Amino acid sequence: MPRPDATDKLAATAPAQTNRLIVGGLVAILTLGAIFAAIFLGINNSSKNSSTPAASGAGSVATASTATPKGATEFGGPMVVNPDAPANVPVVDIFEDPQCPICAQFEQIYGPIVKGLVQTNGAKLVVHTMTFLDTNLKNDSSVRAANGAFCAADQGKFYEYMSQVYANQPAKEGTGYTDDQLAAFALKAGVADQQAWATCQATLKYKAHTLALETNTEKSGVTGTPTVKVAGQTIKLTGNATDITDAVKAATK
Amino acid sequence: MTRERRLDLLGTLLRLVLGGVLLVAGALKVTNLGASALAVRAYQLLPYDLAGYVGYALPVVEIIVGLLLILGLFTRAAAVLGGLLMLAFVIGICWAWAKGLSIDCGCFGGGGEISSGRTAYPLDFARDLVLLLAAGWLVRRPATAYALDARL
Repeated sequence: MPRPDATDKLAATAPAQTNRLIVGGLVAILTLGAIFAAIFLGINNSSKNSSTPAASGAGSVATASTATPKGATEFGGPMVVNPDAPANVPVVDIFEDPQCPICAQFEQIYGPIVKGLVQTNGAKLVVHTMTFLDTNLKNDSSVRAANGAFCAADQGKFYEYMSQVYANQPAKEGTGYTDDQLAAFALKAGVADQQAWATCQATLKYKAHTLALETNTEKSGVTGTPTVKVAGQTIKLTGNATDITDAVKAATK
Repeated sequence: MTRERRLDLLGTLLRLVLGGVLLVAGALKVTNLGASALAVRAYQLLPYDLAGYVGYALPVVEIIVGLLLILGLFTRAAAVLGGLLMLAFVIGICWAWAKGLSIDCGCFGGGGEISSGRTAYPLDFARDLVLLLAAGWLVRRPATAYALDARL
């Protein structure tokens, strides 16, 4: 008896196999295309943010690109609030985003203590201003507020400006800051040359520095705010202002 | 109704649940790829640049795998991919949990650091584990009712 002929069965399945191949190939190509498009879009967006500010008025873009505010350790580096602190006191690193509600709470609770440490040089305060909430909230208020603080830093009023930002943070996260609000902060912070501050803010002179600082901070492993490090160690914030003073006391040589 | 038919219908249900969750999760994230990259970085599991690429690509992959499962097209392959995604999510959640990070899982948009009282690791873990089991079922038994696979 001859073996059963398989050609009928093959003929029945062949078109189906071809269909699967065609549809599968299309789906695979579409998927790969979409993935590459998304990665391309994502990279494009992030590099657009980190490029130099658009030439919106005065100030040359070339000088704006690596402009570094007074008091910053370097381009894309954090702000040293009291550089004259003695060598035996610990460094307190604070990481905050101008639009972060918990940061405003943090300032309410711990602000006076930190201010005291700065005034008495009981610690060297280094502030890492972060701006990732612009991405989450789809606005540019964190970068604009940070730029305002850096423009104030040129006149020695960084910390005062930042205090104004957190004290007047909008109740609803995502509302952001208006240009008028940011200008009012400069006045209240005691920035002497208002004209210079206004020019610096209008051109977003320190936008590139701000974005570089954000990238550097994320790469260093800090992705959330508020984060506080005393002598390099992240400390637990329990809502008690003594969290920081205790850690500083323990770290003071 | 035969036993086979009942199992086919169960498969359809699992397909729709897994596919639906993936589609919604991807759609909520795809409109803000920057935030998606941040959410992946918040896990502190991957190097900075790689975490960015994963963040950008993930929503797209979720949407496509979700659509395939909902349509019942290449069910087994889609279930393998969906299962791998869930496995990765479960590992990520356990990592963040064990490391004591206070982050939102970023599963449906959002993500990043949150106050330590607001983390939802047990819930996220349980949800993704259930979806992982659903994917496992579909890999073992990809035949389901109302699937486009039958028309190919």
